[in-house]
Amino acid sequence: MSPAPAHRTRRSAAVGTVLAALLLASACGGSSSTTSSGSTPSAASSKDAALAAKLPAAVASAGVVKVGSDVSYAPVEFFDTDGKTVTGIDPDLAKAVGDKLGVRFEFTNATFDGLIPAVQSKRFDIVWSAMSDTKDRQAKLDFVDYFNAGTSILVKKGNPEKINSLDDLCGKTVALQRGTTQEDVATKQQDACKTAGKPAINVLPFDKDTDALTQIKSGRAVADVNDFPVAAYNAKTSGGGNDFQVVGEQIAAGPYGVGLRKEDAQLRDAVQGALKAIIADGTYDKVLAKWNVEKGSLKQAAINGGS
Amino acid sequence: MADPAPAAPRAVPVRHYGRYVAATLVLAVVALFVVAASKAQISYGVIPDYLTSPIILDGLRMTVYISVAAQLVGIALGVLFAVMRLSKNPVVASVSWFYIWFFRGTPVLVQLVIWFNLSLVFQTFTIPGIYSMSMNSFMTPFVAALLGLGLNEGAYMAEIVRAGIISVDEGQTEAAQALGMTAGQLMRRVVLPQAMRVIVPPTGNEFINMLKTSSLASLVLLGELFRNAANIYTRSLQTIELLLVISAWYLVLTSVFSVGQYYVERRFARGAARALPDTPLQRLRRNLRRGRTGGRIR
Repeated sequence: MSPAPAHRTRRSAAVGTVLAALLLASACGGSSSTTSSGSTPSAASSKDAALAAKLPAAVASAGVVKVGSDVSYAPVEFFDTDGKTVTGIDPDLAKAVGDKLGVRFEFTNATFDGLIPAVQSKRFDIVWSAMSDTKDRQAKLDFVDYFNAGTSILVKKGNPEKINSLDDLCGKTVALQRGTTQEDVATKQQDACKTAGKPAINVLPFDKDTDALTQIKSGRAVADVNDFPVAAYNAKTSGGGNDFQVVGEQIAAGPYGVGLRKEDAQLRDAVQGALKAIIADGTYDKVLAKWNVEKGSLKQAAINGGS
Repeated sequence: MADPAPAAPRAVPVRHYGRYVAATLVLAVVALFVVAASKAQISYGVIPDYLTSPIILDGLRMTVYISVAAQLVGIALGVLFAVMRLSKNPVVASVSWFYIWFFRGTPVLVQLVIWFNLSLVFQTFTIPGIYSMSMNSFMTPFVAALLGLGLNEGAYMAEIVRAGIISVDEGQTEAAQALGMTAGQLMRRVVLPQAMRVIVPPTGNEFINMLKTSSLASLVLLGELFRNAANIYTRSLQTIELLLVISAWYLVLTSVFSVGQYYVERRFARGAARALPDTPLQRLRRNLRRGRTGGRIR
């Protein structure tokens, strides 16, 4: 009589259980890339019941507003030293607005040029990502303006190529982020270069601005065109302040806006109300002062004020 | 008198009712998908226009170009490193082992990004005594893609070629040596031709994969199919429509080259079987001819 069959079934049952347990464990261990804005603002705001009442019922009961943002744009939104907490001007303003409304703004990292489609397809509720309010974008989303910034040119420290304006970029290689207003600025400059009889700019569009900054470091590009607070921040901090410098004046300053779906007018008005409230009580100024960007202060909190 | 022959039994083919049930269920599920697709908020109308748009066709050309180029680099390196790996020289064999280990062990995407950003660590590209060039001028997106995809492919091809070579019976090598062939002659005229039968199918597979892996080169700014489509849809926001367009083109590419692979395999299978089975085309012709004459030809 062979005892083998009993042993075999017991062993395979044990193996099967272990495998099943492993599968379950791995299934439960999935992590998402969602991180909440964990930075403490310089001044906490208290909930304003009147404003909170203006929120759509669905958002108020969920307690969370899902924010899509390209978290690689210091100092506007970027990851803290722990690599997980989203910090910067936008998360701080969002926390202040959220406190007034009694909800939490949850920032999720995504690629910049995919943010508008992501909001339209309801993956996110709003875009809060240093997104310039422009007429083109107003066709797709409504914007609550909250900050004013223009385009700056960032070059290698010492400015070896002697760049001082957009015209000096003709015939050179420029790295920038895809889907931004800077891409439009560069395209417009191509026409100016052609009229002036100079060679065209070699534009390299990247998914993240940090990839574009790397190209200046490696020498492939002579300049990166991005927003002025980002340019200033990177010039000051990158490589101990020895990597980059800002050249020229701010170009075509315009408002950043919080992007919302057109049908979410109620949420849009609630956000605008809360923004006006934090401007009135000084929280807005405190956040801008914390990040040294008082120059970009915009106090009207207009809707679709961009051109 | 013999009984009259019994009536032929009424023979009825076996009924497979279960097949009808299964077919109906499957068709119902397919119909659900078709209905869902028709209700989807896709502008199907723009798809034919984009299929032949110049930007997409440029991307298509680049995809084929980089895939073929990277695969050729991969095959050349693969043969070289496979032969090195099988060498009795310990230094040569170890270097080859290291190459295969490193380039198979790291993701293609990581390799691509490293090549593209190499100018962060090396400012010039120098072949000592012969040639020197600034790394940024040398490492264009195409070169970065070629190096990244080609070197990675070389590591996989080395293993495939090695498998092919060791599949050839040792007796063949012994016989060739007994006939006085040099190592080079015996590799070229006895071993490699026989190894091809084992090498070609996985190589064809690798090339089909390469056609699709080339889409990773979009991250080093190569203007291939995926990047060109993304450039369009990040502006027009017709994301799904354009992704369907490029999916269609990738399917066309892989199907065409799969057919090509079938015929290449047949070529190398000559001599392995007495008569090769018909190709689908030959079978079709045979069936058509049989249909016309109403009977067997031979």
